[in-house]
Amino acid sequence: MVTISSFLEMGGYGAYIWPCYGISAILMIAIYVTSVRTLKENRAILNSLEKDTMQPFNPPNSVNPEQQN
Amino acid sequence: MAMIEKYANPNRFLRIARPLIPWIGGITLLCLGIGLYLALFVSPADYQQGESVRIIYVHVPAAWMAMFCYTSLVISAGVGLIWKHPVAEIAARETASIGAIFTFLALLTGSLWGKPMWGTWWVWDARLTSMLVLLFLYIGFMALNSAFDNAQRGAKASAILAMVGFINIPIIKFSVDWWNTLHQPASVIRMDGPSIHSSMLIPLLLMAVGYSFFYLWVLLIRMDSAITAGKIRTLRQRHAQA
Repeated sequence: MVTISSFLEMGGYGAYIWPCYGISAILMIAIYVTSVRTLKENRAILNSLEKDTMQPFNPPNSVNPEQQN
Repeated sequence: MAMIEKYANPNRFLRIARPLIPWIGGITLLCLGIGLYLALFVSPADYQQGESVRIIYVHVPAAWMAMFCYTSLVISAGVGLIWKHPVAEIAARETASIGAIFTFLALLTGSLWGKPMWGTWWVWDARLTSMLVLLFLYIGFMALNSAFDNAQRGAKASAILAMVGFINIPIIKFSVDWWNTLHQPASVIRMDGPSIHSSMLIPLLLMAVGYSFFYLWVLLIRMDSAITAGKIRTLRQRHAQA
């Protein structure tokens, strides 16, 4: 396919353009994936800790939503 | 003031933030999807720079976000320092990681653009050097923030560093006007309006909006994670004491 190869060539600048888009995509996807993974891990740990104590934990300076009303 | 105090409660913050996360993610993907399509397939090649101009659509949004994230880092760190606001301290810390990545991407894509256009990967001129200083400020903030056993002291010390470093932001913005530099002057944010054609401006702005929402998206996820980690720490301490 001539059109695809000429598109990838980008008028001779493909070697500069595609790394720009590629590395931007890789780094942004990487920070998103690691952030979501850490959140899931932390939530799992908190859930198992709360199961041990049998009550949801809220920091001392906070108001428990159930107690508010 | 009342508003600042209202969101100082991590649980209340999460109750408001969590439902927003999928919507912010959706807007991010929509803007970046349309933006990328316009940037790669629809927007024209530049009459001087040829196809290489397409680097602008990932370079400029990254550079804008590098400065925007630093500004919001300084505001968050300042609010954390003055009002002892736990959510603001977390926002500052998590913004630093995202901002550092945007700064690195701005430098890297700039280098990949500089080689074909200027004939060099790097030059020690005002715009490039001040952007490199910004990257070091982010790294310094993160290092100082986590350098103390006492998290409060880390937050305080790094907040002061961030505030002093804010002087670099106007230097970056006006470096192209104040000094002779290889970097081209502003063509979007200027007093007499943008000087680039709408066929390039629209994809550029879409990408910039997409990058902004991406920041917000990842920030809220990371803040949720950091607040959860804080609860884990407190629960474990309580277990240890019991």
